[in-house]
Amino acid sequence: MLEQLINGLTQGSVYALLALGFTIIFGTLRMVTFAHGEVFMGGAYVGLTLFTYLTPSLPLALLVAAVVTFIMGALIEIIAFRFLRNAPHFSSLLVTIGLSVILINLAQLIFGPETRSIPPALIEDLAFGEIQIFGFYVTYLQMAVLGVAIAMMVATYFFIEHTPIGLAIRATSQDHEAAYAMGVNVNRIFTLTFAVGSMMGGIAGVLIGLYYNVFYPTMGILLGIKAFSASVVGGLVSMPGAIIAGLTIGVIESFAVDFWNASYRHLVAFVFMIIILVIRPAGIMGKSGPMSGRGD
Amino acid sequence: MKKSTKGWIKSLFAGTVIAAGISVAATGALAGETVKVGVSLPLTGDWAEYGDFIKKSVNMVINKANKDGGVAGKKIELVIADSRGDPKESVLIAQKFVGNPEIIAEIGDFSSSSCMAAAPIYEKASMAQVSPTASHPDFTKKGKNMFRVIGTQATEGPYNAKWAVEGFGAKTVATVYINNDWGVAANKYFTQAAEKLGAKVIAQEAFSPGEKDFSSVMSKIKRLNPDVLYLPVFYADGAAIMGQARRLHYKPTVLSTGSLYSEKLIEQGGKSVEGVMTSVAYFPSNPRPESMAFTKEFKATYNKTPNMFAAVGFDAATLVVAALKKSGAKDRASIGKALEGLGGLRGVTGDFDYSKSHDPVKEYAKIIIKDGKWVPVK
Repeated sequence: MLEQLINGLTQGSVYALLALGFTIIFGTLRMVTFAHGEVFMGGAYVGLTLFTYLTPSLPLALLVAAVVTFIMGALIEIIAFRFLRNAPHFSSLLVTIGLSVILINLAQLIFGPETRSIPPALIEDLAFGEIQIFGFYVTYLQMAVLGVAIAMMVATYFFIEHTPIGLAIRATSQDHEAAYAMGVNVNRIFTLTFAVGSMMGGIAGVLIGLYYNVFYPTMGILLGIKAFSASVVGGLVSMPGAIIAGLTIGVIESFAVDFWNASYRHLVAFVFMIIILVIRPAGIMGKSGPMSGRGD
Repeated sequence: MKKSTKGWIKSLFAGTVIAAGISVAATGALAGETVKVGVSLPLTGDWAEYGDFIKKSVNMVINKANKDGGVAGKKIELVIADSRGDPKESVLIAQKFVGNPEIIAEIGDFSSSSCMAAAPIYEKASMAQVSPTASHPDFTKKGKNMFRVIGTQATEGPYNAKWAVEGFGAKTVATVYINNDWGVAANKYFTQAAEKLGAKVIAQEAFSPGEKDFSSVMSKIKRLNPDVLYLPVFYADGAAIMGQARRLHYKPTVLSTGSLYSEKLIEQGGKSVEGVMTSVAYFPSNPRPESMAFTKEFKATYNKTPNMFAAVGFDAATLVVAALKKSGAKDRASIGKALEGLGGLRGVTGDFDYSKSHDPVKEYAKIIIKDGKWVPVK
């Protein structure tokens, strides 16, 4: 059972990381992006490319993926949101859906539609090297997934709460106009926030891609929906809420497979989310939290 | 006024006749040179390697037949379409093939789901669909123009169940299978036979096509610890399942359907897939004379060792060429009848006699992955 808990926490930490990206973006822009799963997929393919053709180094892959998806995020924000700042919200939503389709097709063109994997020999040590904790084996990669995810969450929290830029982000998230009046370059804050949120998606992509060693163009679709749901369940503007919801969903899925059947994992995950939302329509941490603002 | 209307109708009628005459003449002229055969296979996507091997063999057979003078004085021309492993795509391809009067027979598709989805369209057009690989028992029940080269799950499943229970003395078995037409049938026939032989089925885990996280399900299987784990899956999923099992320090005795017999499984699975076993209707070191001749020809043509998928592709094309010759390649309906009348054609993967049943009987060879290579089980 402890093994299932570790499985669930590993998967859940990735949901949490992706959900956190949604939360940061929504918390500031008050807008939802449907291209987040594809940014995640982009990060994963950066990892695949670096490992396979350059050098199998996890820190390097994480760094490059972070830079690439940061830029991707900034571009998506400029195309889908800045250009459409005065258009109805639906327009931006539609553009992000369009961008996600374009990104999936782009990945099919560049990498092919088939499932790809890094030659197993290259990640042998990372994926199967391990230490023993209380009689249970934890691989380096599992530790890296959990460790990087936690580090990213802490770093983001610190960034938002304790830096001048974080202050500007919080100000913008509370009131766009007031922040603008106080001299905050709101456009720049929007792009920056979106880029940071996307970067977390990209890092999650590298981690999960390596963890399963499976890469395919549509890998971000279901995960994107799951993470978005986790972020909604968490309260949509609450960072701790997103993390708690992400981890909980991961663990619930693992146990659902164990107690019931592998084919019901997604069913159980979404039924759980619906129940939570019925009981607490604003999500687990809907009312409070560091990012909660005035709402629209 | 009346007269002019009549004249207009008359000239329209005459025009139609002329146009019809031209189109008949055109087909007649073309048919004199070539006869077309449609090929529908997954050439991209997760099943691309399977499709590629089949395509290579089909090309080889057709090229040889054309070099030997074609059929009934006509050259055979292939119309190859990529179904990407998607049944919806196979249906569209079937409609396209059926809509082209020059195409008189079809080879394909790969998956049972694809073949069964396209079956009504081919059946309505009386066009033979000769699938190298569709092993779902219901496929050939979809119409009198459906033919298969491979054995059905109704024979492969029980064969593997017997191997598990009698060969390995398994008291308990578990399955992890892909949730599509084929996977459900493969799981059903294996588990039913295993139970009949006295083994207990302690878990049957289905996963949706596209699922990549098998950690939880493998943790569960590890805890239940069946004597034999049966995997009716394809190579990309097989590699992922075995890799994630290895991370859990779980080394089960794994049997699978012939679908795992692929070099890609070893390429993607590495050390994790060592010891995986399956049963196949063809293996390069088969002593059957037809097999040896085929292996030699394929190696000489492509500088590559063929696999079972290449072998069934070869047999499918050989059968179609034989039927074209026998029927004189006249029309679509004659191909199905000619296939039924071939009577005991000796193929690479067994003998074919479609006169009573469109499901050929197969003999299987047992193979295992050892030191990164597929070798016969000793």
